[in-house]
Amino acid sequence: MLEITIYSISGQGGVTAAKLLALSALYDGKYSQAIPQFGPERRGALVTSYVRISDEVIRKHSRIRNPDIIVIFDVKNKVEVNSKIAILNSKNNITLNAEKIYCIDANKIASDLGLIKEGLPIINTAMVGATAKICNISLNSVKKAIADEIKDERNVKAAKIAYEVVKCD
Amino acid sequence: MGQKKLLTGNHAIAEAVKIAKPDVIAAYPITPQTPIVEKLAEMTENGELDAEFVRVESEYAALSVILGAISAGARGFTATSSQGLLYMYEVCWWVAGSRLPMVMAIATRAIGAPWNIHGDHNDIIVLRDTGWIIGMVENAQEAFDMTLQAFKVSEEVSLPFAVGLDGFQLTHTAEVVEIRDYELPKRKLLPHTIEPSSKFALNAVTSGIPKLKARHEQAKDLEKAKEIIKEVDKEFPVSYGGLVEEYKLEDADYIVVMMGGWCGDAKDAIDLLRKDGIQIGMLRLRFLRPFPTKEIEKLDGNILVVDRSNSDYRGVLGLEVSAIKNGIKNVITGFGGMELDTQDFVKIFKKFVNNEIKDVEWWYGSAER
Repeated sequence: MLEITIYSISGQGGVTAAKLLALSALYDGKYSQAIPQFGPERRGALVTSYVRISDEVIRKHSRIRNPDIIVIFDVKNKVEVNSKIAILNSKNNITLNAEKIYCIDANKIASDLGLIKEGLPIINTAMVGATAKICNISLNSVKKAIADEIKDERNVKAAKIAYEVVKCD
Repeated sequence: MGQKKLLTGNHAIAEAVKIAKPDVIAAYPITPQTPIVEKLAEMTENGELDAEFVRVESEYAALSVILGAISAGARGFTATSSQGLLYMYEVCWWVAGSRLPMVMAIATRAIGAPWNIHGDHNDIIVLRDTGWIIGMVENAQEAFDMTLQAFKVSEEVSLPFAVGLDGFQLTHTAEVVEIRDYELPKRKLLPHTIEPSSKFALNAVTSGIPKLKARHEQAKDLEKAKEIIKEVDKEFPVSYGGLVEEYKLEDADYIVVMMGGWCGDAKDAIDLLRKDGIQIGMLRLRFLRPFPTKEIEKLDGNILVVDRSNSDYRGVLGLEVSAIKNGIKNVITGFGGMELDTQDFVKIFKKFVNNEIKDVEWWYGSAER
C-alpha cells in the first residue's frame, strides 16, 4: 500500500487533488482512498489531505501518520517531512529530510496555460500529474479522472505536462 | 459485477437511496450528514431521481413530513446527525410506534456540550429504546449495501431502520464502492395505510393493556427482524454475516467486540498480533438493534468491548455485552473525533492480552489527560 500526504493552502485544491489521485488509481484498477481534512474550512489555512493506493481492499480509515510520499503545494509552509519521497511545487531545488525529492514548477505550468484564479495559479492538477507519475499511475487514467471531475480541459493539459516533465529513476 | 465508483460514505448512501426510489425525502442540513441530502436534492433536481424533496425548517419537521408520507404508503428517507437527531427524537418514537417503515441515515457525531462537530457514537445510541432497527457500517461499500437492504428489512417488519456511519471518517472519506445490481421490490401497502377514504384513525389513545400489547408486538417484530436481516444479507450479492461479522474468531482466545468505521484499523491490528502468535479475533456488531444476543452468548474467550459512547461510567456496548457475558473488559475512547489507528489498537489489544486493562478503562492514548 502506498500512503500519500498532501499539504496545501486552503483554496489551492489539495482536497480535490487527493480525490483526483484516488480516482486515477481506481481507473488503473486499484483500490484507493481520499481523506480530506475534517472540519470547518478556512481560506488561507494549511490543509492536509491523504491518499491511499493499494492492490488489495483498504480497510483502515485513520489518517496517515507515516506517509511514503509527501506532496507540498506551497513550500513557504514549513511542514515536517518524514517520508522517503517528497514532491514540491518549486522551480528551485530544495533540500529536505527525504531520500528522494522531486521539484516541479507547477506555478509556471499553470500560469503558462492561463490557469489563474483570483491572481493565483491553479496548481493542483499539475501536482496531480507529477505525483501520479511517481506513483506509477497511467497518464490515461489521470487524464480521464481530471476530465470527469473538472470542466476546464486546461487542467488535463497541466497534468499531462507535469507527468511528462518528472523524471523517475 | 457492478460499476466501481470513488464515493464518500455520504455519496454512497445517496447512490443507494437513488436505487431504492423513495417517493418522499425531507431533510434539514447538519454536519457531517449534509452531503447526503445535497446529493439527493441534486438528483431530484436533474431528474435522476423521481422523488418529492421537501425542504423543511427543522429536523422535527423533516421526520414529521416523512411520518405523514409513510402513513399514506410512500417510501420515505431522511438523514441527520447529533443535535439534529435529538431535535427529531420525539418523532422517532411516533414513527416506530406507528409501525411504519422508512430509512434514515445517521452520520454519527458527538453531542454538545462541550461543542464538537466530530465523530463518535453518542448520538445514534439514543435510538436504543425507540424500537428502530439500528445498523452501523464499517466502510462506504457497506453504507451503500446496508442502505439498500434497510428499505427491504424495514418494510418486511414495519419498523423504521437507521443506518449509522461514522461522521467524517466514513462520511467524508472517498473510497471504491461497487454499485450493486440489485432491484428493490415496490413498497407493500400496510393494512393501516391512510388513504382519503380510510375510515380509521392512526394512533388512537390507548391505556394500560393495549399499550403494553403494542409495545410487546413491536419488540417481537424487532426480534423477528433478526432472521429477516440474515435472509436479506444472504440473498445480497455479498454477505456480511447478518447481525455480526466474525473476523478470525474460530480459534480466538481473545475477542474484541466493536462497531463502526474504526473496525478496519482494528482488523489490521489483529492481523499484526496474529503474526506474533496471539490468537485474537473480532466480533463486529453490524446491529445495535436488534441486539445480536445469541452471537454474543456463543463467544468463547476473553472479551474486550471497545466503545465510542458511554452511559454512566461504562461504555454502551460494554453495558449491553455485560448483560450477556460476565467478566468482560471495556475500553471507552474515540470521542469527539479522537482517532485511533492500527498502532493504537495494537497497544490496546496487547494490554488486553497481557491482562493489563481495567474492567472499565477510559483510554486517552498518548495524549495529556
